[in-house]
Amino acid sequence: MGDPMNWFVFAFISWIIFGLELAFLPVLDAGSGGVHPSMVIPLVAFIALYAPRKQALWGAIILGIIADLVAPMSRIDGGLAVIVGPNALGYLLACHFILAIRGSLIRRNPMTMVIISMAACFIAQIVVIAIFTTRDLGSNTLIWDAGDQLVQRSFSSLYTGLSALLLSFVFFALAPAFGFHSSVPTRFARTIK
Amino acid sequence: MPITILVLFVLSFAPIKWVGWARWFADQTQVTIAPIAHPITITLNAIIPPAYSDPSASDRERELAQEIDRYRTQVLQVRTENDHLKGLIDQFTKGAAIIPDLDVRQFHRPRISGLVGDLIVIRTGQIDGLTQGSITVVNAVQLLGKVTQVNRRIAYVRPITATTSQPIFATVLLNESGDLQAKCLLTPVGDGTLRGEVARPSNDDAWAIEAGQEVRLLDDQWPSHAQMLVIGTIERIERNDIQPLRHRIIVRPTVKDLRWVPEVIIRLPSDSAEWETP
Repeated sequence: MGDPMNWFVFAFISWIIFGLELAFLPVLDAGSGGVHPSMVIPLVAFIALYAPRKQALWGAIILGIIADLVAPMSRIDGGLAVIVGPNALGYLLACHFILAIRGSLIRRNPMTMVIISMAACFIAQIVVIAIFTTRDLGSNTLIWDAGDQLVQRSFSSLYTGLSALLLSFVFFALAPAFGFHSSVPTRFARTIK
Repeated sequence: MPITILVLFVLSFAPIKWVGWARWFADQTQVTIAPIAHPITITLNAIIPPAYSDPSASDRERELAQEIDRYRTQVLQVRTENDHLKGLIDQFTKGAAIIPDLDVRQFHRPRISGLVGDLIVIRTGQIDGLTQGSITVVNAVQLLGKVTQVNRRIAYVRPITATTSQPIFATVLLNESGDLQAKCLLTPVGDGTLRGEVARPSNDDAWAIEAGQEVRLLDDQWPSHAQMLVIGTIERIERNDIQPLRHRIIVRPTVKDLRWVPEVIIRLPSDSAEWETP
């Protein structure tokens, strides 16, 4: 079932990860076109791999809500709109996906983090795009181009593999600090403590 | 958990006017993340300095170039103002009111972190007299953008090259003195440049549109103290198959990436009301 996650460590690491996300955004922007890797999704993937189910889901929701708060949408009248929910729901669904398959994954492998981070990011972005596109149908108050966003966020999902690869080593080293000591039992093996 | 999911679902689709309260939480989140994001940004700027138009220039050369740019901007602003005053005098004689010109005060403030969406976050706000629509520049005369949202200590600036920026009217200086100008409407492309179409007023060679020519702001939607600020230079000219007589120009700001400047200069009218000293 997994050891309980240390929420203080989670909060601290989340704080650092969001700082990295905001600071590195212009540096890692590919071609200045808005394609950039996510630092937060690898964290979501990491806690989904190791934490107990309920804690992983709540962690994903919390990270998603913070992601909504730090990324306001531009309005047609030039202002900003903070919409809480799309990233939270996207991260939640991505976390569900990882929880569903984690039993058959080799957890302590950087390539596992890369692949599931890319997939999780893509799932989360699809949810975000679907929500904002549906909103845009009802009221045209936000600057939103579904086609552009789909392309941009798809490439960002691929790019997230790079940040996942680098962060995986950090997260694996921090696993004991998070409280992750035992492994999730695989489908055909006994629990290893 | 199901209730939380339901609430998030409702919030995702709620009208914007119902979720205005979320801005307070967003501001507090920015303030919380700033202490970690700002040092990382400073470290990044030290490791990878922002690229300016002439990276090989010494600091002294850069200062002199900026001073020349400032005086040139003032000359062009005075010339534009003269034309404006002539029009006002004309109106005044017919009974219209004259609006006095404004002095400008400027001060530097650092960028806190990279981006929030398309927006730059700067460490200043209402305590320094900023309001929505305040003008920001870099390198003395390079237009950066307008303040989109401001709270007490933080402000968000939308660069003119952001894809969510509105198109801006500009003028191409066809010669050094700026006597010959051609107007255009520039739209951000999304890769740090702006695209627009400009028509040559005459077939005279003096009116040729060429790469390297300076493009400056000339838009009534912007305050008077922002007029004639530099938008950039023409990077290249593209063929316009639909309208061959109109040149399609790509303009790049003098700073390679406006989103990654270490600090910005705020330009406010000198009589901007009620600002507190920090």
